[in-house]
Amino acid sequence: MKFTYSSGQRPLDGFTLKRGIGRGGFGEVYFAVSDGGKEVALKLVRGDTQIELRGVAQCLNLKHPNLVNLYDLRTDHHGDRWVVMEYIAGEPLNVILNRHPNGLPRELAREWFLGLARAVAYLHDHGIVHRDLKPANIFLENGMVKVGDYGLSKAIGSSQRTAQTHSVGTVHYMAPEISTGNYGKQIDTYAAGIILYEMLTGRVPFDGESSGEILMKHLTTPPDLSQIPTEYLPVLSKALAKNPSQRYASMTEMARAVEAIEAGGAASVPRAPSRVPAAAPPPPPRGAAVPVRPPRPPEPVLVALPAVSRRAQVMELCGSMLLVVLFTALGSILWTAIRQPKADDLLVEMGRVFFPTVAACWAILVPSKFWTERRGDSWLRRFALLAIGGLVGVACWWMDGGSFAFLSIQGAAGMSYFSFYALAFFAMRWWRLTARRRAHRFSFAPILGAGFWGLVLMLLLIRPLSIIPNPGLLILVLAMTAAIVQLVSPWEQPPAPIAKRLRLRYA
Amino acid sequence: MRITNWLCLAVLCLVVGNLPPLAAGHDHRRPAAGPKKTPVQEEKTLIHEEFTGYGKSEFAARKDALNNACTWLKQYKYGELNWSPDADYLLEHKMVQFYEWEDKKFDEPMGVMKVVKMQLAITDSQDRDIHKQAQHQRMKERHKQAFLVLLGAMGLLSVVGGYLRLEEATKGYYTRLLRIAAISILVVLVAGLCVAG
Repeated sequence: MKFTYSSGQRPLDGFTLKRGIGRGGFGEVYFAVSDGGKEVALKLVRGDTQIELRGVAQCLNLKHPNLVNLYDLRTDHHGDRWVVMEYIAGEPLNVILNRHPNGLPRELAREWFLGLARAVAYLHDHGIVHRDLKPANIFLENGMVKVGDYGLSKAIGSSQRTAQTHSVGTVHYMAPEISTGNYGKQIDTYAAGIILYEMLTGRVPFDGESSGEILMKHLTTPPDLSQIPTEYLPVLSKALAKNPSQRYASMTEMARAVEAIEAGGAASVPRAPSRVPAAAPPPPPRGAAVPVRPPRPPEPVLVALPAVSRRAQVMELCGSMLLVVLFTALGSILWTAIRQPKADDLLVEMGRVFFPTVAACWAILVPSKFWTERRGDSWLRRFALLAIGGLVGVACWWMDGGSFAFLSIQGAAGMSYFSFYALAFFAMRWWRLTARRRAHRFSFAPILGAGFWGLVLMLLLIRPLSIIPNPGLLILVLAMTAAIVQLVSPWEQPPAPIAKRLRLRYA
Repeated sequence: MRITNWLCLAVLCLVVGNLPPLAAGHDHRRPAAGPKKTPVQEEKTLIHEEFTGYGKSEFAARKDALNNACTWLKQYKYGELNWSPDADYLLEHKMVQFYEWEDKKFDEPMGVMKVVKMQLAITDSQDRDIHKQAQHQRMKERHKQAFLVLLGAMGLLSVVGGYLRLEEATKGYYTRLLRIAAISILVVLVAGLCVAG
């Protein structure tokens, strides 16, 4: 992502840019520091600045804990307009939702929705319609919801008189009445309903191949509420009503409805332990027998999985890849110590295990790092790994002394390496071993699985593999890869009760 | 795993297992099914050449013949392997046979010299051993190369990971300094690898 300005530049007097943090159709956002030391976000407004800046100007003096504060509107010496605003270190909601394909824990969705509702209600109370409510514009910082991006917001009073000729908002969150040029505050209620739906289920109610198809669904198709928890059904069916007059009259009313429903229906939902310590029980009378109770297991705390940005993923990947080398070196030394080869062959024997294992681990880690949180493309991943495994096989063949000059003689060996690694990579879902939320930190099952597949492939390819010196090493390489990939991949224990509930729900 | 996955895997295995290159194993392949060779049967001789060596002594003449054989093998037979058998290897593996020496008179300043004829015979299995030995040598060299590449990759990963971590920790306050440091380390690393390679 190339930004117009680089670190250290001062396009706006009084602020030094530190780094670019976001980019979109509206322009660019930078993290910057004022001369006095205040950390801010600077938004360089591009495109249709009139609409953008009109909304910003109306929001400059708004103050709410759930709103991203706007400090100022400035112009640089090129005539470009900049919005000086609060710097939010957290991640947008859409990134968090991507990591929760089955939706957020109910308690968390409720808490965050209430923050969103308070912020939008505050905007409405001040005559502002946000008009572009979507997860990408909602940020989470230290568990606090912050609604940002006022780029498209406009005063309610002018909404019906000055109909825009271009579309506003984002199509998945666009209320049906926008097609008729009605930009009342009900469109925010509708968008908030869609966001609540998405937080609870992990998907939007109306999706399609094109914007037109989605818009048509907004206009005509009733939302599928079969996946929604029963206590939320009345709230969502009212918020997502096609007719704006049938929706909640205000965001405050909708927030109250959510609070009320949750208060009644939360009995089945595990709650986070209270932050206020309960009063200590009175001490037992002296000499009385005190029944010994086993300590209660701690109650599960409902939290969203921590945010991992692309930058953090790259950092983790670098660390994991370095750790692979360390663990593989240890494994190879152990293997060589067991084998006790001749002194001349010591390094070669070690290298025959070390290099293929490092290559295989890296080949799995790199794509898997960016796969683990997505679902539904298992076949695509398998075939990608098939190709990657083939490349690893060719690399191993080359490292084992294969020569392209003697392809007629060594082609069979090369083909054997290629087939073995390609099929071994295809056979297992290797990316699961690197998943942050895998069931166990380390499991022997994948090692056994890798060994099993190695053996099966050895038997299937026994004729061509017989020309490779010590083909049993290939099985060892696969088993070591399965172990090391798990060891070096970060792991976070998923909240078990929620996972179980979701599994049951989606079974 | 779903049944379709199993089926897909089975089909792939069958396809790959029967690809033509696998059947074209050439010398390294196992012998095709057929009448087995008895131990009495002689192996097929692939190379059969005679070399002559000259020297002031019988030892020198033999050495000359061996050198001629090695040079010939390197030039015409095993040049592309990046390794060819040396004199010790030929002797150790009994690939050469010397005939009786004889004196031969040449014009001055050479004078009388001893002439030794030597027969070089390399059988099928010996040729395979030579290929294996060459492969072993290539493996050693490539492991060295791979080690250097790995060192480079580790250096790159350390620099990238370290830069990102520090840049994140310092929120961009020292971006320029960190970039200069990272590039400097990478330059030193590349130079070091070039020197080592």
